[in-house]
Amino acid sequence: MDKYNSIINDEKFSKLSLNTTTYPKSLKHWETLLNYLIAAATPINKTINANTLRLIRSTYEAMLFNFPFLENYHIDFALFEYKLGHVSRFHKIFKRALYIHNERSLVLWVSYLRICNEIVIEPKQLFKKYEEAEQYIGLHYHSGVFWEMYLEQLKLRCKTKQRYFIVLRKILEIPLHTFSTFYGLWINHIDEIRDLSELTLFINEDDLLKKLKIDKNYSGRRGPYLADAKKAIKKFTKELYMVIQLQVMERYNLFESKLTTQYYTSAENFLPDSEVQTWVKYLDYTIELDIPELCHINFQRALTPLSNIDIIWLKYAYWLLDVVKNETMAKVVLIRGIELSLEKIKIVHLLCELLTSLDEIHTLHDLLEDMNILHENDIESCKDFNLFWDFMQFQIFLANSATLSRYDNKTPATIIPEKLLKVVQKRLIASGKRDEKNRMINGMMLLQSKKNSKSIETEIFKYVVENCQDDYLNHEQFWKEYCELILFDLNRTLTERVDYIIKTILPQMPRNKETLKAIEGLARIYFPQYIEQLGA
Amino acid sequence: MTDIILIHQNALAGLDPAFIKENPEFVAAYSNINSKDIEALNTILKAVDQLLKRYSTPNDKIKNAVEIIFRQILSRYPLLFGYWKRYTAIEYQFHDLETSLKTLENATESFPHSIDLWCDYLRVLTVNYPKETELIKTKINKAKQLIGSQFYSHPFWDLILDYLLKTESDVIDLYYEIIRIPLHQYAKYISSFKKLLSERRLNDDIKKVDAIGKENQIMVNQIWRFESLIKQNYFNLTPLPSLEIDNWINYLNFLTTKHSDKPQLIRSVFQRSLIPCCFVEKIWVKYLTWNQSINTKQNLSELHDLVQLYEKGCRVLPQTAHEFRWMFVDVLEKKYTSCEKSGRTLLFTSFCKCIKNMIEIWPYRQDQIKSMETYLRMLKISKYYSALDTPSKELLSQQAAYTKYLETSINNYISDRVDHSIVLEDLINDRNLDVIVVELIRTTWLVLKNTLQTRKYFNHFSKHHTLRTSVEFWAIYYKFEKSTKNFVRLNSFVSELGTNLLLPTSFINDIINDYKIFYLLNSNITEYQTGKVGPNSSHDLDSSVILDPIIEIGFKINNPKWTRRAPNSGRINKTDAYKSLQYKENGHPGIVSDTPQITNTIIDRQSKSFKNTLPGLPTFRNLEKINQTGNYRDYYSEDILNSKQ
Repeated sequence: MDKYNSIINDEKFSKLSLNTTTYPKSLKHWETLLNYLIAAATPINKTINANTLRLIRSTYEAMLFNFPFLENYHIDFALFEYKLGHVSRFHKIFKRALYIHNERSLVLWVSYLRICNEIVIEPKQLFKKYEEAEQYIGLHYHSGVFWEMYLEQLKLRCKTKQRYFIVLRKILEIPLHTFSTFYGLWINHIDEIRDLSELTLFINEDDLLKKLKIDKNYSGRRGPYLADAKKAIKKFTKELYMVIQLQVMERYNLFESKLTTQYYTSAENFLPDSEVQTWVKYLDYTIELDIPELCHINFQRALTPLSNIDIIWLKYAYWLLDVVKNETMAKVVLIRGIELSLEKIKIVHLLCELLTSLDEIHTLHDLLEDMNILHENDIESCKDFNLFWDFMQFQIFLANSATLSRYDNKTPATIIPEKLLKVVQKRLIASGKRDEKNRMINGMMLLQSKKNSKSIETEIFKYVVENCQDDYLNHEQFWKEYCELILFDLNRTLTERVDYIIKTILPQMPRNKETLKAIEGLARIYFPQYIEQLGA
Repeated sequence: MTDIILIHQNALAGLDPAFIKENPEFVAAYSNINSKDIEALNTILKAVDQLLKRYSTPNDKIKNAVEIIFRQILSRYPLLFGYWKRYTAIEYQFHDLETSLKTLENATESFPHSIDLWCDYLRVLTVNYPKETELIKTKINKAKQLIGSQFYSHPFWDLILDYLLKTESDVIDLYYEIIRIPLHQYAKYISSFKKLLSERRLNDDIKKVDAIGKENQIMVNQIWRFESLIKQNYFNLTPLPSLEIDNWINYLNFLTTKHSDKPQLIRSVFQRSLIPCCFVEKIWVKYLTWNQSINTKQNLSELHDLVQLYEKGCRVLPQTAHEFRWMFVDVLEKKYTSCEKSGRTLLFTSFCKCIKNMIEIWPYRQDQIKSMETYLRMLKISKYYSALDTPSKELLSQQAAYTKYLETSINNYISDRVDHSIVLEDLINDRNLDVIVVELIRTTWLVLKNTLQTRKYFNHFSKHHTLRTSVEFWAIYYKFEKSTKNFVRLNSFVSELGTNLLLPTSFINDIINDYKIFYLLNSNITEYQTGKVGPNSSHDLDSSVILDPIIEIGFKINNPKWTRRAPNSGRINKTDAYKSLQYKENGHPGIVSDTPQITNTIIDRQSKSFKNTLPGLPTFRNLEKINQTGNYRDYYSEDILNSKQ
């Protein structure tokens, strides 16, 4: 029996793999399975059995499909392939991982570049990667590691020193946790200056001459002149240091020191609310600073540990819509959010709105269909009312949009399409929470127009009165809305309306303290002169 | 009205300048009069005493001044029985017995539950006017009603017994009456009664008296638990200790639950409690609630008494007493619909008076808006009553008259031509104007069904400054536009919320949440997309930006001042962003700091973009403030304290 067969025939394997299929969202089971497979397949080298390799690969892939934000397993996977000499797979895995993280994952970039340093021989090719990383994660508070690597490569691979100094000069302005390291480097470099010509590595010639009044071609005694020039450069360095130190301290004291988890956590280990609050405040702070790239990286950082809740996803999307005005990216973020967040309703709602705004009515339609399918074509009995109610609103909107062209408002009799009406009716009469029914009734009231009062009454109010299966009718809201429907039906005179309320509606109403009080309250506003005729 | 004139009258006005010069203490005491401080009142009393010592035969001017002073104090605080006594004595000194008796009589009317004053009065009456038997009899009966059941009323009963014995009337009936009352000195009357009976050898009666006495003893023992805890049973301006109040309340609870068959006694204890506790709303509420529970009959004189009692409570209680006043208004409203025609005038007059008073004393409270609503409701019930069988035509003309009346009043108020003789116009102020406007609009829209006129009203009134911030007004406007499904108007209304229309955030949130649903349910994609690129589209950047009702409007929730930012650049005025308070407080709300910044920062530039030339010299802002500590912003004093000045 070869290794592959011995693994798959092992009872332990069946048990572990069964666990992952039964509880696909439980990280623990995946980890055990993976560890078991790696241990069984050791030694991992090029002699690995093809079937075993495929098994491990698919396990990684399945695990990462379920937990796309597990940065370390992406790295693990890539390194696994690297060990086996599959370099192109290695690149592919990292690229895919970065794509999942909106290209903004410090851990991924650093691990990736660390290997690239060794395997990418062409400097231009390597620096292209570094430049890309600079754009996405350069402003990360902990990106000191990245910058150190970058500087080292520049030192090693560049013939001239200019690029090295430009990068170092930029780093000086970034509030990094390890900012002082780079100031140390910079000061050392200043001390090492031997000649006036080297000054242009620290500042451009123009400013050197115009602002610092230092002529690099100075023809007098160059020794003391150079000493003065060094002082001038050190002076602005010191000022820069003070400003950046303050920024770093502020970020550290207010936020960074309070963040305990910087990596993905599965839904089984929810982070404490304080962590969420810190991130929310940190993001508000970042937004106010108005440095777009910093906002992006911080949003992505917050998402990694908090992807299970909707707060950050929504905040990210709102920021993209409000400040960046990038509706497409907001859409991408929201779609990703629907996949990963356990709280989906608000994200779905915003996505629906966004699709409407983008005029992608078909995508909206598909999304709603998908939602319905997710609930086994029975969204009307979906436990979550908010989800259901959002669904209904957008369905009605879609229906309005569809009928408009065909019937052009000539169908006053129906309030909403028959199919949707049935859904509402069904949910209204079934036993359920009062508040939810109130919201539905209120929604139906919003549909009232000059022509349809009668049908709203028949299809909704009368229907509920006749079929209601719980004690909903014993409470005030329904009757209040019912009376208001009549009161706002201006096709009748006031007397007719009041007469109808008193003679037709009230006799059907269960008389209890709550309902009577509500009706009296209504009467006090709208028809106090008839109040005694209520017989309340 | 006379009260007001009296209170504002200057008692010293008629005095000679020479007299004023000679009596500085008296003048000072009067000018330092403070109706809330008992010490200041006592100082005047002393000053008056000194004055009268110096001028043993004062002239008319002095007499007049002293009388005015007493009348002023006693009209404000009729429960100060010591002042009444002093006033009576002075009146006797100034004039004659008759005047002083008249004063005492006034005292018993103003402070009808005082044993002291009644005893004084009856004593003077019986001693000096023994022939006025009819008058004495009526007065005695009246006093019996008012004070006879009080726990310490034995001086009064002694006086009556004494008088009856002197006039040789039979006292047996009276004794029977007395020994049933739980008095502090109940035993005294039993023994003297028994003595009288045994003198007359009425042995059966003695047994009866014993039985009654025993029963009464139990009662006295029961109430003694409460009576013994009463430390202060007279009126004073200093607040009563809460223990005392609690004791009264317990006492009353005990009586009303355990001895509800003794209304006379209960009433008497209520009346007594309201002497020291006359500023305690709880007891007033209790009294009136109890009173209504036992008086279910609907005759006019009882109604009159009830209204009077309420009015007295409203007069006496401090302005902070809301419950009692609202209880009164509720009673008036309820009684109005159920009572006979004859009582309606009384009720309506009292109602108007009460509402007027409430609007005056609560200028900044929600209560006064509620008062106006109540007034309009009552107005509709009383002056524009209709039944279901009222013919449509009649009803419409009646309602048209009602709206006309409202409109005239509103317009007169707005154009500052208020006619104070018209009750409604007299009641309108800036705080409750919206109630009437909303009522006018509601009637025009829903009853008269005049959409055109309704819109005219909206256009007209929305310009008025107090209505611009009125929740009620905009709520009905929103409702109206919803009913017409006018998306253009609705969109522009919702867009203006928080920026042009400053309304409470919670209200704005409600409207927006409602509108978002309304829009989805009633609009469609074509309407939406054409609205977006229409003339007032999202690409317009003037002040009246119309927001997109599906996405953008949501940004206003909990952030009503939200406005669309200019595209691309993020902030509208990026260069000045650092000057904003929000920026200065970023990360540490409440602490304003001018953080140093690099003004030509290169962090958002790619290092590659520098080619091979190094960046220039960094430039700074606020570098000199690097060691400055942030300013703590004291919002409390800034926003609250300063705004009051």
